Amino acid sequence: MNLPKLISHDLRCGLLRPRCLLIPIMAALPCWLCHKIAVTAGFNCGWGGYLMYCFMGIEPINILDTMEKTQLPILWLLLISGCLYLNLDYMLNDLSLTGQQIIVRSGNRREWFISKCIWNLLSCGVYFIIVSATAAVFSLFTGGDLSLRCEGAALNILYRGEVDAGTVSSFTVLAVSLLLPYLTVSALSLLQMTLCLVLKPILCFLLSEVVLLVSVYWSSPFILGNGAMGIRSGLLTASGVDPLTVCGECVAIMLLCAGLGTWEFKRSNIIGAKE
Amino acid sequence: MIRCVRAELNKAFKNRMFLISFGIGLLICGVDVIQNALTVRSLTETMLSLDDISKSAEGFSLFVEWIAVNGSTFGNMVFYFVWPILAVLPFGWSYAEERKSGLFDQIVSRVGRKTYFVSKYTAVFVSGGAAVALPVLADLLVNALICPYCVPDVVTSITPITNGYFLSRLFFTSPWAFALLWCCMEFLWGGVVACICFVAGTRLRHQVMVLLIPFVTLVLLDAVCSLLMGVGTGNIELSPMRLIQAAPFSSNPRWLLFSYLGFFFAVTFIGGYRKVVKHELT
Repeated sequence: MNLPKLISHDLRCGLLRPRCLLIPIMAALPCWLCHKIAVTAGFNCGWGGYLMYCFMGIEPINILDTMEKTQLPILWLLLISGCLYLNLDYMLNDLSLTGQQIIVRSGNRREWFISKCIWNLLSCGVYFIIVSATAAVFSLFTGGDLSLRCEGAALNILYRGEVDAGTVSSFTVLAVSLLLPYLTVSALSLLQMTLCLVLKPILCFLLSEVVLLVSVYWSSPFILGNGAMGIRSGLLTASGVDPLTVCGECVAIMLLCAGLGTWEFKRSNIIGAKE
Repeated sequence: MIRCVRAELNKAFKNRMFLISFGIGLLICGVDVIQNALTVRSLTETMLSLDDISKSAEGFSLFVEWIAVNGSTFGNMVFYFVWPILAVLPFGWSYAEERKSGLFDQIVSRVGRKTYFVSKYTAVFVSGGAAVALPVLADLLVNALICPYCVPDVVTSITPITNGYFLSRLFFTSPWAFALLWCCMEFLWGGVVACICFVAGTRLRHQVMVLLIPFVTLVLLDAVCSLLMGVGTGNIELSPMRLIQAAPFSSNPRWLLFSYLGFFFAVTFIGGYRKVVKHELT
């Protein structure tokens, strides 16, 4: 059984890399804007408030309204795409360098790919841990508390009155701003990694970005990206997307990607494989 | 030198990635055209039902609706978000690829570093610019078959270009000249952004990371600019991601556009020259 060895190798080589230093920079930008809004409105934003703002997203854009200029939620896109970007090259890099030696020695392609899937899920987890740690540090530096609870009035200002929730409990904040975005990003990242077996990685990244842009326009639990937007969550607003459907869909996509990826990887020719 | 440039241009335009990039660009512009066609049909039906003598909505024009100006269609949103990727797809990868495969040494030993650099830079610039500008030009021409041609009206609210925008006078007097000049501007933007790969390729080993450096840099800049909006910046658009559009949210003065283009050109050309020509690569 080589799986534990393969996983430990992937975690050692692919989990904490110098590029992780980019994550606090990406997370600090929405936190800074949130702080500015809080200062203008005269309240103190806590850890939960910062996290809720980071994964706020945007209300669906009406595609038929062509007379009005629209603006993309660039900070949300940056935060979600950041994880996809950082996870993009590890599997292919490992496939073209020492990875081929590891595959030969382990004697099992299926375990090699499963190990990469587990690495992908853990890498997304590390990304979200660093994002939430950045929000916590930001909260401490700006005089906020380290509680995940978010006051209804503060949330109303941050979400521009788009949600009808009162004070939001720690569990809801955890689900809306960490668990659901984590599942969504993990599903997208796994999908991207699986597609890399048949397409060029840059095209896979482009496809992921298009999926995120489609989710900006249409609010449906079946379009990946909606689950990562707090403003559309069914936990905060009655007309939002159902969190259980999002969870189910993300888990189904992950399992499908692992299954299809293993099948494709077992039959693909990896001799001379390059990025 | 000229033979080398011609060979590189040949490689840049006759490869699968250029066709893929051009195809994706056309597909996105196709979505924009379909949405415009639907808008035109609904507006025409409305005007006919009103029995308006002009049979055309006031200010509604081809030059307000094509992808570089409208700022609201789905095609516009997607195109002006992924354009850095479209720019690098055709040939941005070539330098990193040739370094990795060793082809770089073969070519340099025959034509010299300087010739190699100039010809490669030219090919990356031209292919990147073409990948961005050609779909926009195609969108203009196809939209001309659908949208009514009329000189944009300065007093209607649907005209997004106002005083302070680059070439705004030309937009209201000779819109075709404006549109064609704007396609040239998009060519320059696509070219300089594709050349960022050059500088990135001298440092990074992973090809896909090299290709995505321009996109990540511009998205980060856009995010920073969205934070700076209104903090002593006046009514000026700062983000290069949006400055490539003819009608961004705020004005795009000439000095700002050419400063950005000059800056990117200087960084990519001088940075690339120093790394490729002056330094011994490992």
